[in-house]
Amino acid sequence: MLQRHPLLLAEWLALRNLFTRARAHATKVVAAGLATIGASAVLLLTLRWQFPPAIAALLTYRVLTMIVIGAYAFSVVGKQRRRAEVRYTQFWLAAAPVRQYSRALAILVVSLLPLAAQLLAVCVLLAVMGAVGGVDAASVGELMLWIAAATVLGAAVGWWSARRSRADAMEGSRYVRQPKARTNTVPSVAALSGWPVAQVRAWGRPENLRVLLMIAMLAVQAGSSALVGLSVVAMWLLGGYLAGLLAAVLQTANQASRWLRSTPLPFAQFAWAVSRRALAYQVVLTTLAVGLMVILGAPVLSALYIGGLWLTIVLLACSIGLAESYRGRPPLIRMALSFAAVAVVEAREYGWSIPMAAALAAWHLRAGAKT
Amino acid sequence: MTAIVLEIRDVHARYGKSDRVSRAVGGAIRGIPRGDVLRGVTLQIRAGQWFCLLGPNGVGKSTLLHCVAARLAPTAGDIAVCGHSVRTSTIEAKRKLGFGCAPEQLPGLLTGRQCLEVYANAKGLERIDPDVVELSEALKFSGYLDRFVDTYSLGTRQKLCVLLALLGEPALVVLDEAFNGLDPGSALVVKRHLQQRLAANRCGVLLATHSLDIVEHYADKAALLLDGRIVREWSDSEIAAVREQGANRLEELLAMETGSSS
Repeated sequence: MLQRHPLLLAEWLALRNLFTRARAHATKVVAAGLATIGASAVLLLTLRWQFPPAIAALLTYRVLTMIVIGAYAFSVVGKQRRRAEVRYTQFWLAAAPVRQYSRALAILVVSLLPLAAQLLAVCVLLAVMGAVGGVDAASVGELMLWIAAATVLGAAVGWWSARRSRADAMEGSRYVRQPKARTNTVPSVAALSGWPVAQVRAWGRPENLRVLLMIAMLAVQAGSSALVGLSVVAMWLLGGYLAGLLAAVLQTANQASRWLRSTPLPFAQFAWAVSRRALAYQVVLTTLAVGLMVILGAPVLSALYIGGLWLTIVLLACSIGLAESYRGRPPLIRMALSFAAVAVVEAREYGWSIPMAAALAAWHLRAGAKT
Repeated sequence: MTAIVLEIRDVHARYGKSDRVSRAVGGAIRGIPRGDVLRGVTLQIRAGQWFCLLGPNGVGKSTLLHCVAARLAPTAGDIAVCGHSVRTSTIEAKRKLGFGCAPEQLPGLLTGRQCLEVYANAKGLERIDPDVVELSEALKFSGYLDRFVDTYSLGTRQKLCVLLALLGEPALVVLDEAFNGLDPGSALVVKRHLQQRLAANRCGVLLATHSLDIVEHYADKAALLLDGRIVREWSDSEIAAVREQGANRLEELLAMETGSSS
């Protein structure tokens, strides 16, 4: 069948070759897989008491759950369709005489496949959560059905709504504030500290922000006061920004280390330059988020604890990301193991994850400095 | 006698342990173990020398340059930049090195000026070299300095890569296909600039290239890399002799050496 659809054949061969190449690094792949499975198992066993109430809550608020999942599916499929359409106009087979229906089929498969894989992963996760947490199979099955229905509905609307979209040719820097034109060029690593912030702005284009805003607005309970409503929306936006900023530091660390590896830049200077502004933003905005949580009625100590825990996660993830990128290694395995260790400690002794994560961060930074 | 700026001694290198490469075996394409990409490369470059590294695709030219730039650790042998081992005195070796990174590795969300500033700082410079500023003006790059790199064309990115490689008066300039994407005028400006630096013995140049006109008209030395080994070297006089023999002589010689002549 694939022989009659050259675009799908090309995609399939690329995917197959990816797995073949991964097989050549079997030890690393198996190690990464085992580390991920191990970390997931530890997390699942540690949090197993939380699963029955979580699944019950998802079923109680099934309409909200369906709206969120539908919105996600809508967004993913729409984005994938636009991307696929642009991609196939610039594909290496763009000039080949591929029939229109074959091209449309390829776009459909490429657009739906990531979401289908995610749906499968979520169903497997729910089944495992149900088995580990002792939730009855009927409840888990019902939740799966609701999620699947929301996904299908959201995907269909997303596919339909993206049908007349224009080619997405926007540059990454389009939403990044243009620096002022200057006449002098002075050696400085200041631009490195602005890079993660610029990256978050580049990601924060309206088409991405609208999804977050939609979820944030749906999270406001009916009958809430204006202050509470605004605080809830602000919390979601703040949370999205902080998570984006963390991801941006990790990505920037990877790209900057590849670019600057042939220079004599010391690790400490590199790490400080890349992370200092992002960390300052994290501290300031986390403090703001703690304030918002208190406004929303959370106990002060709990809000402070959540803020501290988030900053700990940021510190640990940034340290591992920066150190491993600088050493030219993928940070995934160390990150999975470190977070699993921190989760275990936190499950045993409330609040102990913070000093543990700080110690792990220092250890990783020291290893990076030795490079 | 001018100083040796690069000495590569019996270098072996590989990417991973079980990497495989596609080769024609018995009429079919099969994956066979790659083993070492570099298998005992030895060469020397002096200040004032323009050394061109030739070879078909995939024989290890870029791998060798990555070893010189300490981006990849050799599995055996040693590389010294101005007498500093890339393995043991990495920082000192990197201070003497100007490496032209691949255009796609430039950070898209920084401006050209910011790239120059960060790179200069990373090399420990107190100011941007005036001749790099002059070169950027000669390349008509000044107008792009305050624009984001992700809005640059391939040629403009390539100009920035060359400018970055020349920052900080490097004793060894390492360029990988640095003239790809450059318009003929800009390429000529870069070649003349490199020639000026070489004439004053300010540096040595190691260029991996497929452009035989650069070898014929600018190189002082050239070497052919095949299957991870240097199989042929041409001195200045040999290159001059090849040039005398006609326009396509070097091309024919390379085709014979690589076994791709019909």
